[in-house]
Amino acid sequence: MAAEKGEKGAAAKEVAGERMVTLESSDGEEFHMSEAAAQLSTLLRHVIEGGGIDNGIPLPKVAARTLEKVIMYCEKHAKAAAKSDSDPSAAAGSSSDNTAAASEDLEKWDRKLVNGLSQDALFDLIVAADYLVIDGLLDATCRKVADMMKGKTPDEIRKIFNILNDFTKEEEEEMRREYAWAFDD
Amino acid sequence: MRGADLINLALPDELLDDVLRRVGAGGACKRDLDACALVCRRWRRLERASRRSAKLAASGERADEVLRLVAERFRALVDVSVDERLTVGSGGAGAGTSASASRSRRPVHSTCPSRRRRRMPLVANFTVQISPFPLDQPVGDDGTERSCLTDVGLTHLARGCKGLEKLSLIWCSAISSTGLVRIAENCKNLTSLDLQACYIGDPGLIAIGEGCKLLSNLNLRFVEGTTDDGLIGLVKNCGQSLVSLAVATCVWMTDASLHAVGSHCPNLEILSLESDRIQNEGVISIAKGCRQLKNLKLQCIGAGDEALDAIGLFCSLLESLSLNNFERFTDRSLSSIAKARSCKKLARLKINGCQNMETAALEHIGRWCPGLLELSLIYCPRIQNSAFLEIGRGCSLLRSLYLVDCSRISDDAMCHIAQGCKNLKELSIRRGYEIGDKALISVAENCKLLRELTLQFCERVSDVGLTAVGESCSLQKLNLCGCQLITDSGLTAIARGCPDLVFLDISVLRIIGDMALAEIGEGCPKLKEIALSHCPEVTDVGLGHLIKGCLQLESCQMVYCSQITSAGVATVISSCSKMKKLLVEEWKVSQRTRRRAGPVLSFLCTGL
Repeated sequence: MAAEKGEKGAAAKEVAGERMVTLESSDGEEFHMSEAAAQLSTLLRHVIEGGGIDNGIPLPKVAARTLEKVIMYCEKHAKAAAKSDSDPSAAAGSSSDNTAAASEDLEKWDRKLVNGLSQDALFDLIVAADYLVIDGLLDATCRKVADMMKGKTPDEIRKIFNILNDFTKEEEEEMRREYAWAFDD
Repeated sequence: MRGADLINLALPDELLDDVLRRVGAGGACKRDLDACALVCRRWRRLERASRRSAKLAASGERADEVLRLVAERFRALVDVSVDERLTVGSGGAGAGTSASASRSRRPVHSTCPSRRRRRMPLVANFTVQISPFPLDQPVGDDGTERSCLTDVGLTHLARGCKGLEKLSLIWCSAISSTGLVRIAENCKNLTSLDLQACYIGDPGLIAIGEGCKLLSNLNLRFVEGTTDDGLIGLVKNCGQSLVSLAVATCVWMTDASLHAVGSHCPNLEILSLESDRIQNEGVISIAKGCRQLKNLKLQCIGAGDEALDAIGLFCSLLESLSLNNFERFTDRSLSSIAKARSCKKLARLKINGCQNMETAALEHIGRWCPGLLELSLIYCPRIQNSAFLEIGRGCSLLRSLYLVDCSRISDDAMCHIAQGCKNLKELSIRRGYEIGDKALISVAENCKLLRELTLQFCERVSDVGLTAVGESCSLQKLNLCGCQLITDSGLTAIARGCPDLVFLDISVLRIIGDMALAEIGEGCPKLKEIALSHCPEVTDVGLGHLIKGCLQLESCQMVYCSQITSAGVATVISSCSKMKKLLVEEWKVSQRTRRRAGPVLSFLCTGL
């Protein structure tokens, strides 16, 4: 996916009628993404609006394999948004079943995306989504991690994430007693 | 070999916090959050910082201590509720045992040395037991005086959780002005304060007014120990932000307070006033000053027509009006509500105990309130049928109609309603002795959207009317308690015509028997609640047929059914996996059933 080097001003080039943006990962790889997809990232949107994209946008905090996933997510969601915008029946609101099914499909796609990731890939994706300010991706990834914790005992959680238990026995006992008295709605 | 702890390495605090918040979102979250807090120190720190709301039963010697620890540990608390009506489990709690339903539920009388003993209202449906902290609270004998939350605990809370927005102190009889002053000093973001049945003084209220300028909701129901000066002082300072105010049985409150509310609370939208001392002048001040009023509930013996004239004149945004025990209230005042501009928005009207109201008022409502959605008339014995002609003509959007103890209303009235209000969804008539089959047939013909029907003690209703309804309306809730002409045939029609039935009350129907239960079992698979008390013809056989088909059953009441035996009860328990509440005579429950069902059983109290 590397673009030709030395193409000045070619970052914002057109491909099949769509304006493209070039991104550079922390390990030097270049990636292309449509501007529409880039708009999903508040950070990128500001950079584009500020006009600073001639030579590509460097992202020193995002590694190549993570950036790949980010781009997949943004392209998919940008396409879905474009589809529902151009769909006249969706605008009329009459086919609310269609829009509901479409968003369900999108959710399924999101889940598939995060389900296939190893732990460190998942955490990297969370950090990237946060850095690039992509709310939907941050939500999907955080929820995945949260789901891994739900319905588990502390010991099970520690096993899943390889966390060391740094409480003393007495501390643990005390905490277990305390947590019986207050509850949230 | 243990792998690397990636999560703590990769995620900074804010992102781990994002994840933990999502663990807490949705139902059954407490245990999950507790588990996360126990994973390691970092997670404990973050989890504590992210808890936003807590509900505590603060009876017991360590109540203040509990609140101190809560405030220390969970600094981000925004919503705290301390309710002394919540029952406290005896003995300690094991780790993570939340709603352990094996403990008994007896309401607690909390007494404090310096206050007089208060009678606690019986609070139903509290299913969560809270153990006092720490574990070694001794199980006291019944005679010991228990202390409750005091100003000390409240001070800890105030100082620890400065971001507090909602505070609820219900029946906390040992709280005084001092505690409230601390809250006022520290919790500047307070928007909602609920002090029901507390005993506080004027300085406390005044301090809240001075300190909490964002206060929008104030509940002073059953509060004692204050005078007009307290409330006046409060509204003078933070009246601008006040949107909702509730006052009940506060014998200290006079019209002077209401005058102040009218003067200083222009943004008030919700007002609930129950007081014997309030007169017309007080309500008139409110009307003149609180033009944004949307939701008004009045239970004031001392007020009458003039008060409502004013409401009608000034409160044009009124959507919901509830008038209770207005003896001095006649047709005239409701007419003024009706004729004034305010009626265009009136959606919910409830009139309770207005014995002098006759017909003209309702006719005006019918003519001028096209937006009426809900109408409740309780104990208005002088209202006659003709009133409903106008309601039927004018209020075509009517969704809910409740008529209780309106003894003169008969079939003609119901026909007027049915023909005019085709959107009727809920119809409830209690003790409508003149209502009969003609009314029901008209409802069946016209109100196809009807989902909830209550005909308690409408003794003229028979199978004919019921069958008509069953064939036309797919009911979800049906209450026929006391309609003694109903037989198995009527219920069969219901069972066959209402497959969506979720709630059924056929108590005090002397003639119905097993066949009705069998039909219901076959026709109503979604049934969740059934009451069949006082049905002497029902036997274990019918019960068996019922539960074979109604697998979703959660609640069943069957006391005074002489032919139901312990075998029947046992079958219900063993077959209904979702059963949550079963009301039956104690002697009908075998030991084995008691062991199996424990928390689900409620027994008839014959020893009162």
